Amino acid sequence: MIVLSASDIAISYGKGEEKHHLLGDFNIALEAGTLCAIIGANGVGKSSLLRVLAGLQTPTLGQVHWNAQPLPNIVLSRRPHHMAALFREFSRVDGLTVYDLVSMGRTAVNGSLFGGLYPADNLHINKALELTGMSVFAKRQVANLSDGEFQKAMLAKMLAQNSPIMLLDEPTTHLDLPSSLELMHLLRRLARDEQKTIVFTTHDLHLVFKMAHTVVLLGSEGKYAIGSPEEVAAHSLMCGFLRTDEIAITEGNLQFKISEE
Amino acid sequence: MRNAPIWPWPLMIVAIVLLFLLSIAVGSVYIPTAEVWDVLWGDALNKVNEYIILDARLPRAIVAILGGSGLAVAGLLMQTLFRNPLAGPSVLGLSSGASLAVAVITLIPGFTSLGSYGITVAAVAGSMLVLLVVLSVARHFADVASVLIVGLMLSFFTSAIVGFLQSLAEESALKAFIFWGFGTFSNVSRGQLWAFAIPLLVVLVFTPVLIKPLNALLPGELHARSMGVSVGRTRFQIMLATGVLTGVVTAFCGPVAFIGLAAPHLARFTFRSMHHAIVLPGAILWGGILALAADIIARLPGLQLSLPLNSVCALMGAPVVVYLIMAGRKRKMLL
Repeated sequence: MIVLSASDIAISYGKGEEKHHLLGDFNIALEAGTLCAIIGANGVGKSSLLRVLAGLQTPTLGQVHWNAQPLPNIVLSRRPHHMAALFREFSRVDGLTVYDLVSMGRTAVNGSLFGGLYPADNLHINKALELTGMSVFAKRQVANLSDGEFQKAMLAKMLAQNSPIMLLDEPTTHLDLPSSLELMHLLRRLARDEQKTIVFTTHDLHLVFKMAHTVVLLGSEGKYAIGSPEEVAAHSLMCGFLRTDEIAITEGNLQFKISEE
Repeated sequence: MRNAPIWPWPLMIVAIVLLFLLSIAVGSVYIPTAEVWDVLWGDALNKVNEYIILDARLPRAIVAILGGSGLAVAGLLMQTLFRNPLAGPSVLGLSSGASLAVAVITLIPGFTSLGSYGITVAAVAGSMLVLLVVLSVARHFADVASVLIVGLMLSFFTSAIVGFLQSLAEESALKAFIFWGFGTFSNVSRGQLWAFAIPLLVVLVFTPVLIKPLNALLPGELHARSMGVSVGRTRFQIMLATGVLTGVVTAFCGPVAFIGLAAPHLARFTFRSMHHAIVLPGAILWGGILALAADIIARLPGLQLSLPLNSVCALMGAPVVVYLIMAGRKRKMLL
């Protein structure tokens, strides 16, 4: 079943002469349980595309569907039931406990007027904390978390929201390699066990080719490639992205191969 | 599971009740405590003392609690909306907007006939007008510094006009305006109490609805939108609430500074949390406590005259705010 789809998406910025096209005729359809990575050079529109998929930015053209409903038909207050998002623009709020932060995911969907929690919400929160390995941090202040722990707390918040679509903007940026691997592993498990549809942007090609089910490579002038990691690695756009013929990705194990003369 | 301390709540409620009683018990006229008690329970022997307590001190104490709470909530809403620890009704020029409106009505002869209701409506309009300008700037420039600068410049601008009006005004009108500018909680008579209390109470009763969007706004506007919050509507509600709170309090009590700035910080500090379900009631209580305390200090027994409320607030408030902001940085308990 297609959970997240976008058809004929065009994104452009500016007006008149200075108009700058990031993306045109972009199409994607993702089934439940897919882990999808968006890669590409800086400034090709990875975050813009993610914001469009999240309904936080209106595309110049085209339509996004969540669970087969066109986005404009889903009222703002119902959207957290479908989609949970994590963007780099979200700033850290220090004066909250991890539990408070995660509970925000519940108050977005539990229909409470004053932001209260029902007994069922605590179950969701505890489950989310457990899945992300953050249970021991529940009573800690967010201020005292490391970057990796904070990222996991935000992930727990998204999980507590219990929505089928999860969108993450460069979730592995400030993380060291073990933490990045752990996070990717967790996302993969969520896609498999909880049938989440997860889309994330990243610069970490190694992780992408090992972990993602579907890869979207955005090139310049609105060109893009979409497919399995093997397909995208072999795609002609990949050379443009890597900027040189000397670096390529080997077909068998999807590692970088650097050819030296 | 919230992990915020519970013990401050009973302490703060006891403090506010004690300060309320103290505020009724002390004043330039000495009335024995036993007699104060009798008057409050409705069997007064001395008519003069009954009048002093029921018509002067009681309304004054109620105005202080409500006014302080109102300013505290206005400050909290501003601080979260602008994500800035220095935001507050007086810093962003809202009080100056209200002051300008009050100046127009008290200083220009033709307008004086509008009376106290006219002043209230004009002050609310004045503070909301300034907020509107500040918000439209905030929309175009994301950085808070420019918003604060515009707020500051607007208050210079309005003070300039106020100064102009003052230079033209008659002596008696000028004197009335200057006394208004000192700030006091004693200007609301028992008859006017409703006009003061009802708009404030309506807004204060409505504010818990904002707890959820305010929390969602803490990590930023994009976050709030991703959580299904209509940022435009929330901004409008905050603007309306702040405009009414600041406008009404400023119209009746003068431009009272520092309470709106300090009370939310004190609340965050006391409960070590920024969660609005905790900070909102915390700020309301702290606002009441600060206002009652400042009012009692302003007319300490033994002093024949009462000090200007604004001077007391500034003398008390400025060091407190400096301390809170320094310590808040250290403990990461700042917006």
